Amino acid sequence: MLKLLLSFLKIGFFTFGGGYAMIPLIEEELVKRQGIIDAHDFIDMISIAQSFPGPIAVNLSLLIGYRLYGHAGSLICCFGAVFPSFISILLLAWIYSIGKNLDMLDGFFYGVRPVMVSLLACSFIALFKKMNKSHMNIALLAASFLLVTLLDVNPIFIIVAGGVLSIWTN
Amino acid sequence: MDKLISLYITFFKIGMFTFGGGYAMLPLIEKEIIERQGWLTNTEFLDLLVLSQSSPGPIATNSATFIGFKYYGIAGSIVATLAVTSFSIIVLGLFSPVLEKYKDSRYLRSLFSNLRPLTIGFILSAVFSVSLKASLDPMSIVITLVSFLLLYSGKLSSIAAIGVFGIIGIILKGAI
Repeated sequence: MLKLLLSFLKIGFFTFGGGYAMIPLIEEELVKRQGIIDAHDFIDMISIAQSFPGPIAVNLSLLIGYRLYGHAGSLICCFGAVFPSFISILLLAWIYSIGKNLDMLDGFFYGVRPVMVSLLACSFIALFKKMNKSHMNIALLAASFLLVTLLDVNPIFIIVAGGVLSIWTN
Repeated sequence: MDKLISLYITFFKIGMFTFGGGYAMLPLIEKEIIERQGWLTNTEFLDLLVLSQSSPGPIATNSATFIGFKYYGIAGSIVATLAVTSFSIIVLGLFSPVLEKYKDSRYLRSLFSNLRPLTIGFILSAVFSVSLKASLDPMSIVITLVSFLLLYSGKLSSIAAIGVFGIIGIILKGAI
């Protein structure tokens, strides 16, 4: 179990750019190198982790931990996946809070803020390409975009309404 | 204590309604954290994105840690991070045995897959609101376009883009 914790700490530490980036690292470490998770099971776990609410990396670590060592395992893997980034963000947040008036930091954020727009746009395009483009899906996408952007509706209501609609039409 | 409780409730809600990864939760963070609670300004929201991208880890927990720290120091960061992962821990950790039984249920799968287009819509609204929050001076617009082309064509990874444009920003502001 200690080895599993160390594996997840390592994975957590090297995952840049969000939870999706963690998937290939986990695959490399636990499926290919250590062989403790079956490749077919792993694909199954990814699809559960993606479809349930919550951060994907957190969900995936909980599922893997549970499969290997039950409840204790799930908590340990989750801790390992989150702890390195927790420390790193704490450090960055601290630097941010004390360095707010530094010209260097100011310049850095000035240059990087516009990049965030591009990153989000790229992520949207990638997801849109992968989406099944039925009329229904396009209509749902457009509706959720317009409701959030123009009418300022809380996304929580849209998720709940989408869930109710989905149960009703099934 | 009241502050920590409201921090916990807010991030528990965000964790529970985050489908489809960290970016899809951005409109939720805007609504709950900026508009309702006023814990972040628009510029800080962009900076939060920059910091979450520059650090390892899931965007969702990174945002929680950052906002929690900003609002209530180290205690706040621990509470917010726990809160945003609580729902997952309850559902996928504690109730895993139940879930194993129903994981192949078409009903459950189709319920969640029907939500996917909605969350992609959230990401599109995040693109809009983030571009409105970014400064609209000519140089920022040029950086947006150039970085988009580099990222989209795969010539730069996101972390490399942050490094490169960060340095460009420092030079442009004459801080060196």
